[in-house]
Amino acid sequence: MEDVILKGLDIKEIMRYHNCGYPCLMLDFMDEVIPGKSAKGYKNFTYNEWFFPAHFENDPNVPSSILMEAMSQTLLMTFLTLPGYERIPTACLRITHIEFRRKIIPGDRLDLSAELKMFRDGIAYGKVEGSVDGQSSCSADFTIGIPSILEQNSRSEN
Amino acid sequence: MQDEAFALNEVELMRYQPNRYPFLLIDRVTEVVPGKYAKGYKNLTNNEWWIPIHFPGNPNMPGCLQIEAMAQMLTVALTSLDGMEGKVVHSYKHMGTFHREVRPGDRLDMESEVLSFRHGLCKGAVKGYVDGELVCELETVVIIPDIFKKLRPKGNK
Repeated sequence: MEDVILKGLDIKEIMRYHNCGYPCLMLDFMDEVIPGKSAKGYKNFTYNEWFFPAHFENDPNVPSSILMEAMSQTLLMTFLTLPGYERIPTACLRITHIEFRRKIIPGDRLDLSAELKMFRDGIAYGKVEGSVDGQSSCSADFTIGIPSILEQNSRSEN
Repeated sequence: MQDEAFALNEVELMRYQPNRYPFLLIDRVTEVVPGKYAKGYKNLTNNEWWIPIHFPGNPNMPGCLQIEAMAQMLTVALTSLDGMEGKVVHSYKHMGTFHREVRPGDRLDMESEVLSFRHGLCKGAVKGYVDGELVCELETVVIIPDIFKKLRPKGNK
């Protein structure tokens, strides 16, 4: 079977698949999504976001928790685009191998690419990388669960 | 007066620009020659305060904020002059033209030019681009009240 490739998803289409909304939607544009496989997109950072005045007053830079959120939302796009999974609630189970390699400041564009390694029984595992100006800036491995499927499975086991 | 071009990041910009969050609509100034011109950009993202309301389901940057962003870029060219750091600038007359929507995910590049600056009154022109395409234009007159009020004829109210 040939892969479906979704190209150029703007905010309207991202919202069709994604549960997150303002002020916690950390994706601006998806260049290419292959459902069940990979996703590529980006987020712009501008001084007009709620965390910059406080983090930090004289040195605005992106909090690492925001980067983790942006990375996990990119991974979500790889499997929320599969038929039947649109806007399904998810929960993060484990994050490993987190690395932050450089400071990201307002005016930067964070390019994100995610790869889904495994997706079975309501559990997804994948790798995400973020880069600024072609320079790798952060990366992490995520394990994400879909609670409704996990509950079903545990009920049928008992 | 300095004639050399220099760049400003967000922290340096705040020395010259009195606007603050959530109304500072410039992210980086890439080139400025005080009293002549300023170039820079603003990134647009889904995480800005007007996104949920302008408009639900179809977010785009309000025209009044595009005017504000362009006017701020013009004031950078003025307030970077010697002795003008952080001075408040008021708008006097704007004429804006909008060619297409500016959406989250875009980068709004702005180029401002000072056409004349005398007695605290500045005439300027600013253009905004997304991916090299002209999206908005502004012809404007702004005043610096500190200077302008001192020089205004007394009898004229």
